[in-house]
Amino acid sequence: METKITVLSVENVSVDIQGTRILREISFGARAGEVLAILGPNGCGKSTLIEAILGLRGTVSGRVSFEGRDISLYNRKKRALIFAYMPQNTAPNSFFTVLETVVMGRYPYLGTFGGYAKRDFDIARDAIRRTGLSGFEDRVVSGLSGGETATVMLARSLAQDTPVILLDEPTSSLDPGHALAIADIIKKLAAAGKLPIVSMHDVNMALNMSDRLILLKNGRIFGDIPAARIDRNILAGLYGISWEIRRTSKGHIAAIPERGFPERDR
Amino acid sequence: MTRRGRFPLSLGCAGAISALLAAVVCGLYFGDVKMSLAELWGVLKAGPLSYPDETFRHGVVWRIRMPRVIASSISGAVLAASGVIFQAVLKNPLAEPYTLGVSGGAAFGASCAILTGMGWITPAAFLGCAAALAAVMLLGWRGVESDLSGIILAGVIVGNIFGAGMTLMKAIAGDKVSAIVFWLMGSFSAADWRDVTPLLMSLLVVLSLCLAYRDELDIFASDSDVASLGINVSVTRAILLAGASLAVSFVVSGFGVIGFVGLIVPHFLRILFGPVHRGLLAMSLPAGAALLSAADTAAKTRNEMPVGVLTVLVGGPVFCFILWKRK
Repeated sequence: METKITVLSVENVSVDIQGTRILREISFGARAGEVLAILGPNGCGKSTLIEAILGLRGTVSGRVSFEGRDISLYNRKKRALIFAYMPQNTAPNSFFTVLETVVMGRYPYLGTFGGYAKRDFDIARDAIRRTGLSGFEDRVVSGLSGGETATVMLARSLAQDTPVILLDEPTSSLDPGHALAIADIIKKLAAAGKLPIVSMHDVNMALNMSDRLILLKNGRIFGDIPAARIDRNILAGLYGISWEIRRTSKGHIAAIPERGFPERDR
Repeated sequence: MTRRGRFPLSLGCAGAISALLAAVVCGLYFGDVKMSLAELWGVLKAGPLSYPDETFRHGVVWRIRMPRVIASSISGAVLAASGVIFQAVLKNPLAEPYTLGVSGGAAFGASCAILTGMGWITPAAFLGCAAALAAVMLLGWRGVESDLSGIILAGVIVGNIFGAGMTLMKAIAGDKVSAIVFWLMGSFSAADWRDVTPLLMSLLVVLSLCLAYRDELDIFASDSDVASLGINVSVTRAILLAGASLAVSFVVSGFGVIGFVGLIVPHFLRILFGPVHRGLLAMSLPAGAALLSAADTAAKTRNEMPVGVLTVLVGGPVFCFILWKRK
């Protein structure tokens, strides 16, 4: 891991939304091949950070660069070739089929005259296969369950075939089985040399699928640590409740929240 | 629900184009002046430019019926295709080509022209459309990126303001009120060759939008996150909405407010052929053209009843039936 160079760097990024400072001088770097999880209490700025990296959110200060180049120099289509994005709570209530939806991930590759080529459909089918949706190609998205819909959106992000994939709470509405399946796909992406950045509420899921944790609190970086180094004091400081950490015989880390209420942030 | 419910597109296209051809032939055949199909064929074979020995029937077909059929066909195509565009961009099943208030603007412009008696009804109506569209785009511009209900609201309000202006015109119009009311009902009875040029321009606008933006329309309609896929959302939406409204302005200013085609045809085609815009747009052009020219021929042979009334009276119940069967 040490040999891999930093591909994405976030430097001193601050963001205001309607006059309120949501992110304050966020800085971190990320390497290809690692899973980065963003953790933090509600309202800490996880989604805003992802939107700022994508360039969907204007920043007050700072810059985001990919392979040394400021991404604000790229136009939207170029950015879509670097970043894929799976937004929070995506529920496309549409009559498009799974294949028709996933192939839309190929949009940034389209030429002047548009129209998806056979190669785009091949890549979309491959993404469908990798996400375990084989056989669902011709199903209409609006008829799928929440877990299946989330998987379709993940498949669309895979079809976009970008070096960085940003996922905003991809498992928040899923049962443990579907959540684990998505976590596995995210790990495989990193193993294939991509950089998945995942915001999460489920601490256990984050601990077991990610290599590094970016901890956000009140819009600031509270910690930036390898997932294996998590301890109860860090989690207690982050969420304002006590935690018990257990390491299982299989090497999993379990974080169990104990009684108590989070302190009021703002 | 799976994809199995969809009809094959090639079959649909062949059907729509045959329907359009049939509607055109009916439009040329039916009318006050009776002629046999053989006579019609002879007149058509003679071509439009056989003036030296022009017969009465030749004049009827080439000077009256042909421009009318062309006008109603192109209008139908433009209304249906822009309805598809509006419903995709605004993500709203109630969206139609008049959502941005162009019909109110046209009605106001036309009634001003009729009231003042200066003639020029079509240019005045078009000016009204343009004014309404400009006001809506100005009001709703900030909503184009994020909040689509803002632009719909702007369209409804601006349309209402112009509509109230038109009602005021009617109130003070005196004996000219019937001319305003007749214009509002919409009709192709006065179509002639001079109307074809603006209609071709509007068809060209809609065709270019269809060809250039079919992939974007899919993404807009699929309700997925669009900005991260690399679409410049506000610019693309503004081009599509303003372009389609402009195209419809040529129709509405020439022939009045013809409802139904732009609202129902897109729904109908989406139920039959699925939501992908490559097929939807390709189908909407011949289907809209066939529907409106057939409706116009029917209206023509029923004592020139308003074509807009006929499309709703016949098409409305048919659509209700489809909605019912679909549940």
